[in-house]
Amino acid sequence: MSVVLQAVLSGLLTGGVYAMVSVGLTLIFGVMRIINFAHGDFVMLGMYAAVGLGVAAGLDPYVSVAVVGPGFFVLGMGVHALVIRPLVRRGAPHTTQALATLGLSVVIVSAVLLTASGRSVIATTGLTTAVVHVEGLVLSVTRLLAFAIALVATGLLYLFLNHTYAGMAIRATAQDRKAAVLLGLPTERADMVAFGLGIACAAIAGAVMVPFFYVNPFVGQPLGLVAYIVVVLGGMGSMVGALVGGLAIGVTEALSGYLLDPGLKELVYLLLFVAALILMPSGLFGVRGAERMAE
Amino acid sequence: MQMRGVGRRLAVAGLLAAWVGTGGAVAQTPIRIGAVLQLTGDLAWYGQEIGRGYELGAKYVNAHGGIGGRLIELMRVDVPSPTAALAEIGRLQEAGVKIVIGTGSSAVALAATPAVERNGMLWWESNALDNGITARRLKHVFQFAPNNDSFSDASVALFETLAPQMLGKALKDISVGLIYENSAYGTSQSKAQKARLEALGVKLVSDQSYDRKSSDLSPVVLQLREAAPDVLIETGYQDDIVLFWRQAKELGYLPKIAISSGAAATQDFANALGRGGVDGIIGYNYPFHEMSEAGAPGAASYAAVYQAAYGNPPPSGHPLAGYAAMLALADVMRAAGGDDPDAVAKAAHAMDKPLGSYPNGAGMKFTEWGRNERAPVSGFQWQHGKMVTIWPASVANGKAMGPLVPWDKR
Amino acid sequence: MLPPGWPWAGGLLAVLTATPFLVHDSFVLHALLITCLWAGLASAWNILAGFAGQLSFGHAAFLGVGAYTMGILDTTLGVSPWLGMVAGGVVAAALAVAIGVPSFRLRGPYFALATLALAEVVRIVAVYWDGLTGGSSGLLMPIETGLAAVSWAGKGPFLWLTTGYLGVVWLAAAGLRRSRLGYFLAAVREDQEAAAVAGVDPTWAKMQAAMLSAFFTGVGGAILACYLTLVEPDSFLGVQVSTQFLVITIVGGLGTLSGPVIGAFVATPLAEFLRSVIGSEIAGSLHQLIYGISFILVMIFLPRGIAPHLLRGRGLVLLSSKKVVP
Repeated sequence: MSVVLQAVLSGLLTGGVYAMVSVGLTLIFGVMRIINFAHGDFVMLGMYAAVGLGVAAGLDPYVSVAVVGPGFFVLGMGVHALVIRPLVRRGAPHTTQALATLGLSVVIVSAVLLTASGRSVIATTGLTTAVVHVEGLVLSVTRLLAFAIALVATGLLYLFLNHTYAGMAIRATAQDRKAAVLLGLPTERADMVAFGLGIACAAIAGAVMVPFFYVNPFVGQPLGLVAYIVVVLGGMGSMVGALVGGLAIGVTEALSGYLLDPGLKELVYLLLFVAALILMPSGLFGVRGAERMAE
Repeated sequence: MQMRGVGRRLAVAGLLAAWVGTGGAVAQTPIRIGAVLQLTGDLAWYGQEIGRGYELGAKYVNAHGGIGGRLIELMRVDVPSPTAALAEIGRLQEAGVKIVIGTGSSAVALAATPAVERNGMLWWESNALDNGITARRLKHVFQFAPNNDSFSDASVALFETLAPQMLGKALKDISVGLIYENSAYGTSQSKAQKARLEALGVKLVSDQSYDRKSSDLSPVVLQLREAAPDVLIETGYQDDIVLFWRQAKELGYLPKIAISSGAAATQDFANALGRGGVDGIIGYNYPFHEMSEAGAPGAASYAAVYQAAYGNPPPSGHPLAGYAAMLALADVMRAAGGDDPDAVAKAAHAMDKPLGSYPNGAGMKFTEWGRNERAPVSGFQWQHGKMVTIWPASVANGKAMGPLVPWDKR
Repeated sequence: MLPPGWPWAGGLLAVLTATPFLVHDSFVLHALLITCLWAGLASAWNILAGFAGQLSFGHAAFLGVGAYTMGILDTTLGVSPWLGMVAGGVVAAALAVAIGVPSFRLRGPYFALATLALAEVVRIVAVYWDGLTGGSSGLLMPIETGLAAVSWAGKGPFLWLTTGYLGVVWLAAAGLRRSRLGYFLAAVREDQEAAAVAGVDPTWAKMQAAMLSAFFTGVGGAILACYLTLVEPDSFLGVQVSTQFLVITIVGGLGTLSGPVIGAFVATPLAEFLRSVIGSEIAGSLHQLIYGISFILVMIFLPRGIAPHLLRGRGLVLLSSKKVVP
């Protein structure tokens, strides 16, 4: 029994990482309704940034978050201005915007491959493989810290969205774009800030993974896919949904990996995802009917 | 673009020839050999390393008389996928290339070899392992590299030789756990391993595959912790093997003996697990350059040249496999008098060189359909943070130690 | 009534048919035949995505299922690849029904992600069920030569085969557009609720489009397997294969008849050229970088693809009329 509990615990910690990656994505998805194919790759860039800061300035990955977060916020806004905004201004369909992010993903991965080579960077900090024992169960310190930071970031984002003017403008744009325009809200700037915040979250997720996970140009892709599943499962635009969804996927994965076969764990959560969509088309915490306005 | 490359390389080759004093006053036309490599995609690192092996091998051959005085000129092509293989083989053919050396991906090799055969060219396999490469009855395909069977045979041989003596138990009383990543590499290895282990009458108490891109392997560790096999045999790539061992350490899991696939054969692996982390882990892979000179002539000088050219010692056995394959190919081409595929195939089949003829310890003796019976796999063990070759005896430069010391006692 | 653009289509097909007699460069023939194959595949995808408005992000599942069906029938039962192709198409169509039933109630990005997830499921099953599919190593097609084996030493016959394939799919798509089903699909795509009120059964219409689309995709997958002489999960069921359908069709022009063909003839040779000339000679990933940047630029400057610019005013251009609010 305690082994099952251990699996659940490990799954929760992994789920925390998924949630961290997904929180940014749900914001972008919720506001702009575009599938950002490059989201996972920004996680990867955040990893490289943390590694780079560690090498150049001796910064511990957790400390580097203070630099990576704001840095990628600005970078995200820049990417939006350069790639996304021109598309929106020209009236490009959502599919075109999504495909532009696909091109962006290719650009990011090949640029990193060109400069850094495909060889994985495996960082080791003082905390790698450190554990905390609780009631006979084992908690990986690095994953626990990643989980904690995910919670903090989600909390901060939630506060921002609900208690600042900018945040509420973003939420309004997400909820009903036409109405927001009619109300005179700066929807374009809301887009840009939302995108920047989303990218910053992704990069922070990457940075906190560095102590326990390897870094190479391709690690972003599977993480991006899981993030999509989490976002849709949790409900587009819902912070809580991203958190709960991430944890749910993490636990499902770990349990099915342990009880069935590790080779099938992705399969199980994919099937559950589709089943959930059939029963709750707008996701766990989504606004019912929002999926019809998703076009 | 191609003409510029040829001109430049001809000039260099000419200078080299003049310096070494071969070829007399007239620079003969170089022989172009196609090099099929994964230069993009997630095998890019392996492609780069294997490519380095080819380059160094070609340089060595050119500095030692070339092929009947003609110098080798490598034409590298990027083949990240089977579809690209068909494109690039076509391009090589148009460029007049007749002999192709490759590659780091079995899927690419499997797609490329029929195309090579049909285009009247010849394929010289240096690294890819799939048994299927020599199973399709193609007359101009040669697998100088070991294949899946020899890899898995090595792992089981290591098990057979070391486990009973380290554990003080008979084979039938030893329990084994098998884990493997689920792409072609892991699954084909594990299948062969399972068959051999079954034949030995060993108890298989755990059998798990996993996706190597996963960010969490704790389910695998937990199952193993429950099943508690004496010996763990794992097949994976470097990244997932590192992740596995880190999570094993966190969750307090340790087998008595660990036999790990070639992924464990890199310095990065050792660095990732920290000082005590790696000691005692046994691995099997393409031979690493740290071998006895008697069994692997030229390995040390190869390593020195690599270091000089690229600024670090060879990080794994992949480039050495490419280097040795290039040397062997040159020998065969010399015997054939050039690059005519039929003559080269004939010369290859006529070759009979014992183990220990090449810097990776290989010999050369091909079966009817092109498999090299003398393609070695070596077993090594991490001892005090260094890789020591422990098997086979002809190339060993150290003795095996074991079983693994518990985590908290390191 | 002849489909719009038919002189161009006919001319292209004629040129392609004549090419093997005039061109013998193996690389050029390869690039052309892969381009034709993808033009056909993208046209098939367009039936569901462009005509019916359901953007599938998991079409690799149909490609792979078609290829595996033919491969399994050939390697275990010795069934002719020609029959195997058709069988592959049929099995893919059946899969489309299985995927459509849960998915068609979903819209927009939800539908897209459901198809993506289900395609991944198919891939994982193919990897896991290695007794049937050969697992990650895949299936090796027997190396025979001749019409019966759908396998030739030269690339010319493959070019004819893929040209024929493209022709068939294009004619089917052209015919579909002018048929009752085609108009139903357009109605459903533009406004599903209104179409339902007008008496169209949206789910059945989408299902028919999905079956047709999947059938042709499956056949195309089988053809690819014959050409590569192997079927394996990454090349046939990977996510990057699914995105290829999108990229080509949207660059060319979603919903148009010529769009997928134009997209294929632009994107595929460009990718091959970049990889071969720049990739191998200079630096490894530079070609991908250039491809990615070009792609972004095309999306920015031609957001609806190339075809609408070429077809302005000529012929019936069916496009999604959904405007984007700033």
